[in-house]
Amino acid sequence: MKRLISPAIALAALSALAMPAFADAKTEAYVQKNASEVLASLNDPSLNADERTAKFNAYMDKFTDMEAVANFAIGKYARRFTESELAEYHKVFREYALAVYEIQLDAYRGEAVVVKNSVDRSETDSIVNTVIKRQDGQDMDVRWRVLTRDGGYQVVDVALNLDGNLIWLGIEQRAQFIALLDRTNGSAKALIDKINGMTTKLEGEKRG
Amino acid sequence: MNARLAATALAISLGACATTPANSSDPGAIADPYEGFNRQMFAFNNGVDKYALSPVAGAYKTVTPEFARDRVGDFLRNLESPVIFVNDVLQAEPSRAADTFYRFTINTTVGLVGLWDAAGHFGIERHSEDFGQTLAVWGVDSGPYLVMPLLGPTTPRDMVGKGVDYAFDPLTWTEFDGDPDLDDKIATGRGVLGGLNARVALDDEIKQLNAQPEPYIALRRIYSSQRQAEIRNGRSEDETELYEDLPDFDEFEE
Repeated sequence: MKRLISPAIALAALSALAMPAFADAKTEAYVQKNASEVLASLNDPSLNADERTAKFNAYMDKFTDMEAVANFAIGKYARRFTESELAEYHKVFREYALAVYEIQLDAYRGEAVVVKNSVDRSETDSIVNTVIKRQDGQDMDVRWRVLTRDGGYQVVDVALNLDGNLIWLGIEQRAQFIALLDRTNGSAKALIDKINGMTTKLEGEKRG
Repeated sequence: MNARLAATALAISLGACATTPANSSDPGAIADPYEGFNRQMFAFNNGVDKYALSPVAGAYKTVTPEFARDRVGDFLRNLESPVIFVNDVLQAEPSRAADTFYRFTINTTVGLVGLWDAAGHFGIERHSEDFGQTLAVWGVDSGPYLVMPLLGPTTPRDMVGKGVDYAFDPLTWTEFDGDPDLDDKIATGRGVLGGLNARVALDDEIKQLNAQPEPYIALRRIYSSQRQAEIRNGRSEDETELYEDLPDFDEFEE
C-alpha cells in the first residue's frame, strides 16, 4: 500500500507545483478596490438617500455582471423565457438585486475590506476571500466569486461564512427562483410579479 | 410513549439511510420526498406563529426587559450543559467536553445557578451539541427532510436525537419529595419560557425568511446547511473541495 501512496503524493505535489497561480494580485486588488468603493458609497455622510442609492448602483453596475447573475438565478428558464419576458425579468431583477445588496451591505456597517487570499477554480474563475471590518468589532468573512470576461473582471456571487456555514447568495436565490418557476409551470409573469412585490417592500426599508 | 416514538422514528431513519446520501457539493440540498405534506405543515406552523406565537412573544418582550430575557436565556442554556457534555463525549471531542464541563461548573457557581454566562466572560465560549449531531458523526444519514407541526424542520435522525437527548437530561428523571408534580411544572415552565425567549431572539430571522421569494425552500436549505455546519462543529470544509463543485456560471447562457 505504502508503495502506491508515495508516488501518488509525489504526483499530487508535482501537479500542484505545475498549476499556474491564476488569481493573481490583480484579481485580489480588483476586489479590494471595488468592494471598498461600494462600502464607501454607503458610508459617505455627505450623500442623501437618493444620491447614496445612485452612487451605490453605479458602483455595483461596474462591479458585477447583473445580466449574468440574473440568468444564473433562473437556470434553464433563461432559455425558455421569450425575449420580451427575459428583458422585463432582467429589468426587475436588477432593481431587486440592487435594493437587496444596498440594504444588506448598509446593515453590516462595514468600514474596510481586507483581502486574505484567493483560490482558483479555473483560469477565468476565482474566489477571493476577504474580511469586512465592522465598527462593532464583529468582522465578517465574505468571499467573492470573480470571473474574467473579455479581459475584465466581474463579481458574480458573494458568500457569507456564518459559523462555518458558507452561504452563496446567488445559489440560494437561484434555488428559490427555480422552485417558484417549477411550481408555476415556468411562468415568467409569476416570478416578475413576485420580484416586483419584494422590491416594493425593500424600498420601504432603505435608510432615509 | 416517548420510547415508542423514538423507536418509530429510528425505524424510519434507518429505512431512509440507503436512499439519501449526503450531498457535500450543495449543503442546502436535502431529499424532500414528502414535500406536499411538509408544505402543509410549514403553512400550519406559519399560521400558528402569526396568530399565536408572535403576538404572545411580542407581549412577553414588552413586559420583560432585555436584561431579564438574557438571564432567562443564560439560565436555560446552562441547564442544557449535561446533554451537551454527554454528546461531546460520545463524539470523542475531549477538548469540547472539557469546555462544557468548565462552563457548567463556573456558570452554576460564579454565574449564580446559571443566570449569568460567567464562563463566556472568561473566554470559554458556548457551543451546542445534540444526539442528532452525534448520530451524524457516527455515520448515520439524516433521512428525508420533514416539517413537523409546531416542532418545525427536522429529519428522522434529528427526531431520534431529540428523544435520546430528552432521556440524557437529568431533569427528566428528577423527582421532588413532597410535590410529585413539580418536575412536570418545571419542564412546562422551561419549555414555555425557552420557546418565548427563542421566538423573541429569532424575530428578525423570521421576518427575513418570510421576505424570501420561496420561504419554504429557503428554510429547507438553511436548515440543511446549518445542521451540516453544526455537525462539523463550525469547521470549514477543505477550501479546494468547497469550491470545486460550485455550479458553472454560464452553463445556461447561449
